Amino acid sequence: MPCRNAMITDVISCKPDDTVEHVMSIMEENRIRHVPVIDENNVLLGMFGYSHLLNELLPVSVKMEDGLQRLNFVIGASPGVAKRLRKVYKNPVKNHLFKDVCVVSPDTPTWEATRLIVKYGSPLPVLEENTGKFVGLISEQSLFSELLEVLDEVEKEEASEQSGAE
Amino acid sequence: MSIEQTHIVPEAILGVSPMIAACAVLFIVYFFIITEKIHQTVIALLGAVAMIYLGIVNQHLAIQGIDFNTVFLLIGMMVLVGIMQRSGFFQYVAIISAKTVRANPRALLVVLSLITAVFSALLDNVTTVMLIVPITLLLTEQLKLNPYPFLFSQIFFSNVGGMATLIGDPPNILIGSAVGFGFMDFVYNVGPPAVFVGIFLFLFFDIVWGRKMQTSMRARAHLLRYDAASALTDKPLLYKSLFVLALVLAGFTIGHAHGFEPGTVALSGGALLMLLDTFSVSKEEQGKRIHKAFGEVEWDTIFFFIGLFIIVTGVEHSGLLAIVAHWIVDVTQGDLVMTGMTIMWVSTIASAFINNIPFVATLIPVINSMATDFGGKEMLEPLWWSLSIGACLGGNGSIVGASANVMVASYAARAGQSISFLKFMALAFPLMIVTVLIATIYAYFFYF
Repeated sequence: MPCRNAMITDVISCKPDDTVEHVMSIMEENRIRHVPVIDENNVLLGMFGYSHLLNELLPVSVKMEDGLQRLNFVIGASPGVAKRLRKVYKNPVKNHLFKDVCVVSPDTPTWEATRLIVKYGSPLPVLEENTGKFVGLISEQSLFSELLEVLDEVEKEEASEQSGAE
Repeated sequence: MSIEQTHIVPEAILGVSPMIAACAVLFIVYFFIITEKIHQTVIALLGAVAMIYLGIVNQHLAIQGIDFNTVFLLIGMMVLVGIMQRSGFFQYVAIISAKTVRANPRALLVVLSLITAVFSALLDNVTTVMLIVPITLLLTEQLKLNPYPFLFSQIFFSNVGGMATLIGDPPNILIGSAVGFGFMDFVYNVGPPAVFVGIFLFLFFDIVWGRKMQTSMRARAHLLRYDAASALTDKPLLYKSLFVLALVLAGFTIGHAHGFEPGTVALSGGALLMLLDTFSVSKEEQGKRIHKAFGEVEWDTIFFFIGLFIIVTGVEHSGLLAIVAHWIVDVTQGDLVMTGMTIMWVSTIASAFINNIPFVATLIPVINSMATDFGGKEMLEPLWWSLSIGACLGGNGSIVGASANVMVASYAARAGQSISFLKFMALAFPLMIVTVLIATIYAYFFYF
């Protein structure tokens, strides 16, 4: 079963020049946590999401490789973090993209997509293999609903086999 | 005594004299270490086995040439510090110090430099900066200060602090091990010039940067709210680590007089802390923790040393280094002061641009060969201190002068504050020259 059967094609996406504030309001309205950022040629530029934004708000000494392991000694940091958020709020999302995204193609087996989602988190963008154009997303929910449909079919088949045997 | 009598020169290899073959291997290894085209550990190991394949030394001699005192000292200290850093002690000290000076930026520059110097004297320089730089970046970000002066100062103080003790910097470990100097020999002889240089640097950095630093009261107030105690993640481990570190330092200090070398002391310290850390925990957990402790050992550094020792043994065995030694004595007309100053300044300039570890490893047998010219090994003492000063302080001359510098630069780049080679050198090189001048004056009056 390839990913094309399990992917969502009706995806809420945004443009690189949309502001962080605007995209966050879209995410809030639609109750989603990640948005693919796509240019006018339907090419994926990266993902924008709450977790990536939170990561950006962390001090550089924590984010960097081999940086500080803990911040439990920093008391009352919330006003500082809030001020950082205020700074990025008016920026275009293209400045805050997560570019190192794991992607799949419509022909990737769902078994492999499941492994990638477990490893890298949901959702994964689905790109056309030759053109690299964005065609949809595969998420934990879409995988489960596809698996449930398959299960439904399996059960029907089993039931018909049993009735045939009787 | 002729060279032939002191060295057993092997037969010619494929018609080439062993001295030329050894020289070629050394040259090729240096070339790749300097150009960084091949990783230094790989090229050192390839050079080492080349010495054996070329018949310059056999495997038995090559293994004899490895200074296991140095190897054990490095492994023991790496295990000890690797376990100790899990306790959060280093962040704790940095935060306490920042709060003690009420987050005053001018004073913060001084205390963070002082911490760097003290830790560098007692631990490996690279480990010290790996621990101090991230917390420095956090504190400067909190105080909205440019981190550059702090990082610059920490590079200098890591090399100056490292110079003060036997275990502070690899050149000192090599010299101490080869000559048999004890921990206190270094403290008495290179400790004072390190202190003088340190005082000069404190004043210099204060005039250039410290007195001009300003921050808001609000930012300072935020930093003062930091809870240093929370940075201590594992108090029992901290107490065990400090206990073992104290034992190891005591062992370095008093062990020398009783014939116990630093390698033994450090290795026993590492083993003792592993025992204390894994005592009364499950078998699986013991396995995990010991595996992790050995994972903290920088094996590439250890094998770099092993490769170098074999290469230098080969070059020494070929008789080349004795010729270089006699040449230096001839040029300096057999004058001990002139020879000492030459060694100090040549090693200063060399260490500013190339890794000081292979340089010192090569120079040790050269200096040893001068014993007959100066009337015995005990007469060479000033030359060893001159080498230590040159190699350690020279490391400040450029951003690639010492491993700790490279580590600070790498952290700075990760934090988006790249330190450019030329910008660093424009200030660091002249400043390094002044520090070596201070040490030269000290050396002139107290060593010779």
